[in-house]
Amino acid sequence: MTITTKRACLIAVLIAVLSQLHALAATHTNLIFNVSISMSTFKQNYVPVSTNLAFLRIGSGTFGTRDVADIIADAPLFRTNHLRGARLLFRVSDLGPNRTAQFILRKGTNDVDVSPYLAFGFPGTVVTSKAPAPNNTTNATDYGTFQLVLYSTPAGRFDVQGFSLVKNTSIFKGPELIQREEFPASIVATLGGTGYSGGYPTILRGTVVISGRRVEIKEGP
Amino acid sequence: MISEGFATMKELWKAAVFGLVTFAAWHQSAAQTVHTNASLSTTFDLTAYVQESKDTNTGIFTVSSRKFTNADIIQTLAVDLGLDTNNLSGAALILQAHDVTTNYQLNFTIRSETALIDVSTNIEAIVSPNSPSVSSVRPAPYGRTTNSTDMTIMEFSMVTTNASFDVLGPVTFQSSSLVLGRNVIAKKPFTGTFSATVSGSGKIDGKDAVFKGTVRGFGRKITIETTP
Repeated sequence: MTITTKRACLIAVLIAVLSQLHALAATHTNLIFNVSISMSTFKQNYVPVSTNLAFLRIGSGTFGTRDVADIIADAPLFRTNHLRGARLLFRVSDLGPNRTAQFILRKGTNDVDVSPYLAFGFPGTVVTSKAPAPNNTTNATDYGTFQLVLYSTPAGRFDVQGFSLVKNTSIFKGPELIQREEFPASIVATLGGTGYSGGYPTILRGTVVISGRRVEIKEGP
Repeated sequence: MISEGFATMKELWKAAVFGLVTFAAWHQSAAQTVHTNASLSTTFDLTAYVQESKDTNTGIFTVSSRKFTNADIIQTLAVDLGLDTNNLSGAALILQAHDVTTNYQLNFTIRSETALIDVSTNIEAIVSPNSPSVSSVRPAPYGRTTNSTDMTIMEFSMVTTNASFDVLGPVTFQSSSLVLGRNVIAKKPFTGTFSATVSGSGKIDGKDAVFKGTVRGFGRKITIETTP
């Protein structure tokens, strides 16, 4: 093998390795949203008045985003991730036709998909008001029903739903238009529903706001 | 002796009259049935967001919003049931429970100046027995009456040709024992008022619609009805 051939082989190997590395560290265009949950709770309490008699009472309380984040952090699936104190966010991964969406807990640079415990949807009819906007962009407003479910955790679970307003706009990253088609920028929902807290039936009422959309470019697998 | 005999005759008369009255009452009760009914006035205060148009060529979709209240519900029910809407001005939408001491089922009824019209085939209120609920029960002193507060999820569903909806949401019931005058008819609490915050989907004039608002029940009335 001549030196020229050896060099050619080395370059080919280097190109192959570099292309492999590039494939491993793909660029992801994600959308990140802040999540705000504010709920009032009405929990069934039993007040014993004798050995075989108890009065039924309703105990009221509240919980918020931080409580939901810590409940999920303490759930069996994530207990070893030490996510207590992590921030609850909503992420749309890989913007485009193959996008996925999930709630995440973010602690430092670590994002953990918590969709096995927390998910939302839009059951029922959605009606839309939509119009083209300046600079080839589109704005829309959706009116519908929003449902938020916290699946079984040791602390409890809930299933709430209610009227929601979804504001949609084209997506910019700074001055750059990266998606003309409108996409949710904020969701505001007034919710009510049922659940269990500490094993006791609980009625919940409150609001959920998903807002503060921003584009994040991430390198990763 | 006379006085004794007179007394005896008096007793006999008394017994005879008592027997006659008892027989008459028994005969009447055998022929007639007494019903204890309860009713609640109901108010729907909904906002409907209606999909008016969807032009995919221009990319313009329009939505209108409108109030949807008792008057709209009564109007659309009347059209479906072939009722003369002129007779329904000022009509009320009520939830009625027949034989309330044994039957807790509430049916929607339109109460006009002249008639009660059962509309339960078109509109209903549902509290699912499977839905979790919480209660606070407060027996009054000496256990004569009981008050309670109950919270759960309530659903309201209406189907007519021109409008339909299926809305649900959290509801609070305030209930108390049934009392008529000074008589406790039923110690077990029965709904006196309720207030539900609801949302859901439906159609108005064939167009998709999303509804939100409140449904309230109030002004419980107890009536005794005798039927043959």
